[in-house]
Amino acid sequence: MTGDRTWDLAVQPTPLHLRTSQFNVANRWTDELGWTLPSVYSSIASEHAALRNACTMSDLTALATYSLRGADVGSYLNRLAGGTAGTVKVGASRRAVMCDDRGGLIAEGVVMRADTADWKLTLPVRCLDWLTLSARGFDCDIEDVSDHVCAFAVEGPSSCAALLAAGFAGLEALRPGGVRQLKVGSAGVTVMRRSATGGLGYEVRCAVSDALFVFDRTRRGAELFRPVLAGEQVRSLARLEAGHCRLRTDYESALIAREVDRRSPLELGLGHLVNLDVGPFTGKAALVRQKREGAHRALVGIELDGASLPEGRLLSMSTEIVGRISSLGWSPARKRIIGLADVRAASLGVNRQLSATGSDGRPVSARIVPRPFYVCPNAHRTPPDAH
Amino acid sequence: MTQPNNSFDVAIVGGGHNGLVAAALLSKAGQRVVLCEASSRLGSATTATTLLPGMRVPQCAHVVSGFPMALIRKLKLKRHGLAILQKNMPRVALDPDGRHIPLGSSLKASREAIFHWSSRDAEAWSKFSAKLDALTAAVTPLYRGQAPQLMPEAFSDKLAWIRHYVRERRRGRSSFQDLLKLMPSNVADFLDLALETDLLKGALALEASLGSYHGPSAPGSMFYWSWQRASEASGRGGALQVEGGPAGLTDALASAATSTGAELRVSSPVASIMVQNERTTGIVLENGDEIAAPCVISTISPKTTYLDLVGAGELDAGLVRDIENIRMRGTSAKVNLALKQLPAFAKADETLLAGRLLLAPGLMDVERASNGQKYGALPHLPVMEVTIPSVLDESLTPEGRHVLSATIPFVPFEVDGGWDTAAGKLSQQVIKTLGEYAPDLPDLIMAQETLTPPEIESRCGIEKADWHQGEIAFDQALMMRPTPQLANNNGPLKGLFVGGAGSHPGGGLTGRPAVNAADAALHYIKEQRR
Repeated sequence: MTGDRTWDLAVQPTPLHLRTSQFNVANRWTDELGWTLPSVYSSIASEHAALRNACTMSDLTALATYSLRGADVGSYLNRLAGGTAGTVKVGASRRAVMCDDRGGLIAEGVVMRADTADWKLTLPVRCLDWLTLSARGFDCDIEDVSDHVCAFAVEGPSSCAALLAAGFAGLEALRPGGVRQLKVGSAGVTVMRRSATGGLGYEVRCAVSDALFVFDRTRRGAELFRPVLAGEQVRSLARLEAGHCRLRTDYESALIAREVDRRSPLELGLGHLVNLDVGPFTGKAALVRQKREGAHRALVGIELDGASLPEGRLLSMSTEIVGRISSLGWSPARKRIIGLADVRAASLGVNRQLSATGSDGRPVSARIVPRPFYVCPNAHRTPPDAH
Repeated sequence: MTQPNNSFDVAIVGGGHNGLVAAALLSKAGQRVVLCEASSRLGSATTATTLLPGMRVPQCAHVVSGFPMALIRKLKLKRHGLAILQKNMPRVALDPDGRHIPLGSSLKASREAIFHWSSRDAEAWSKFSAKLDALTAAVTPLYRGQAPQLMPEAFSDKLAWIRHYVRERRRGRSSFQDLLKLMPSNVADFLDLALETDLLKGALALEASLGSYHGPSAPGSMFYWSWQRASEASGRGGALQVEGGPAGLTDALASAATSTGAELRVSSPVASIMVQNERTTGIVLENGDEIAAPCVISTISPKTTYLDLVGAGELDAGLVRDIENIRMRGTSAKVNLALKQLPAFAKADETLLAGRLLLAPGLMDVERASNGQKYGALPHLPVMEVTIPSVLDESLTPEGRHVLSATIPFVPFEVDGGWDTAAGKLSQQVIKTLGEYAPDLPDLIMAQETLTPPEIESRCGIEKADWHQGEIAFDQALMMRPTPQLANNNGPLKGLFVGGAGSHPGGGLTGRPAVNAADAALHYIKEQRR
């Protein structure tokens, strides 16, 4: 791709840039992994409403995509990510967490397998070095295909119906996490039923050369469902509502994190993604030790009283500071201020009455609440309810 | 299927001196031990080679440097045929004109010899030696036993650090200052500041850099020297000469091990180490035989042990990277000669020639010799350490005949133009250099053998010809050896211990890594049975 880039910019435009710039009324941009992405297209409120009640489309290019080939991909992925990532069946996908030797979370990603030999790993961080390093002793070739794959998401309650209308035949039968290869016109696409926003959603991947064609075709075909383009900010808010912890916001990749910022999957509530009972994987010994000895910190969901965001980020219990709020936002779905906070394990359970400092300097009461903040039953139904 | 006779308590990979020490110690402690050696004979670096019928010479190592006398007593090696011909083998700075300087035998003798060169140096010699000995004394306690813990948790481990610190502080301010100042510095500066006699400096610089990749001007070379001196000092007997060469030691060790029931198998290359649930369960030989043993001690290099025998997939990825990054680069070649008679070194009697002869005209000659190998070139003027073991050892040669063994440092593993032509050139240069010291020597040669670094690897099984199985430098010593995660036999795989030169305290015929591994293995076995 490097050769035929028509843009000579430090921050690279995505394959969908012609469309994202065309619809970006607010002209607010952000960058992720070196890609230019719209931050807000029109307004957060309208985008969020569409995401939760109708249908949105967004550019997903800001993910590093790695293609894995070889005879040992399954065992390689098991060793790389929690002992479970390699168990993905053909036509399925699963979330996976990569840890370093000391059990620090490097990133949470998704492994998808469209075909027997077609394994893809998507991550919110580039770490080809770590992936290659982990491949020693395995027959597994790793290639960074981020520049060759275009990805966009179609999300919201009516996303299934919208995609069906756009010609993605048979999608209603796709189970959560399922992956299917389809033809849209002459272009081959891979659709995965998975959304980080907590509701129903699909990720569509195609070759960069087909990007605009597939995107336009989807948008026009789904015209009846009025797909709204959703920017990074609203996606970020939706992911918070879904209770997902986010790289660079709620945790830092262990490959670059300072010692105090290192977090293990157990501390972040991702313990279900590692299997401590199976064969060796990177970080297993450290995680087993942590499980035995107990983690010192935990990432928890919190709800705050009031309608204005608090000033400070520190959480205190009576006079003692017990943690730090890592992400915060007004949840239109919950009609409350919600957030994720990194708190000391000792302060869990005994007395959940916490407080933060409000914008007026007064304490704002906060409660630890179970995640996720937003649950959409439709996300788990097959076929999903039509909207 | 595992045969009943293929089930042991401990399986040892590698039949070098370390493997044999571990086998002897563990079988003495009542364990059922099997040792598997890939080549057809035991001994690895200590084997002897027959140049002509009846004329044997140590193939690689030519002195038993730093083997603990306590271990000899414990394993009753003298009863198993070990005959020590001399202890504290002296070094000699050899001079073509006969003004040799004996080093190490007695302070007085050295001082008198130095007087012929420089009265200033003769005066400074005692002070210089004391300074050097203080440095050695500072690291010797670290050399013995396990290395202190990198991150001590138990109080006793913390106390070990405190004890080392207090011991050094009690020597007084200037001694402590010297330790901190000199340990990271280099040999060349240290010598230049203290002495002026070039021959003396050259010999000391050669002594300091034998077995090291770097020359005497490299930072950290002082540490390497102190570490090597500590290896000799900690053994109580210094460098030993053993009847039959170092092979005499391994023969005695093998005999001690078999007498207590250890099974020593030669021509049994190990294909892999079996691991289940992060525990070793045994080894698989290349012929497919499985040997079940809950405890495995590997005395081959940690790199091969973990990456090839265990497999990278069993380890954390970061650990694999650290193991891959262990620097192994041996740069020593050997030239072994069979001689018609004792060559005529000027003004040298047999007592002098029984020592370790250091052939280095000056400090800069050692430094210059060390330069070429970094770029794949042979040293123009090789420096070398020479022994003539047959002076004291009559078992090696017929009456009147002699064998000479020369260790040449700074020979690159991969040489420009390939070893086919370079090997001959190297032996020519070595013999020419020897001829400058003993003019009749080139005419006395009956047979000769040149071992280039690749040949040392293939014939003696010393990976990369590095007898330390990983360079000895600050970052690869003590609790960082072989890597911080694996130090003190505290690796992630239970039941697997690394007892070769690659683990603390390092190479040389000390047997100490094996003693440490055997201790750890016994501890592990006891814990398992509890």
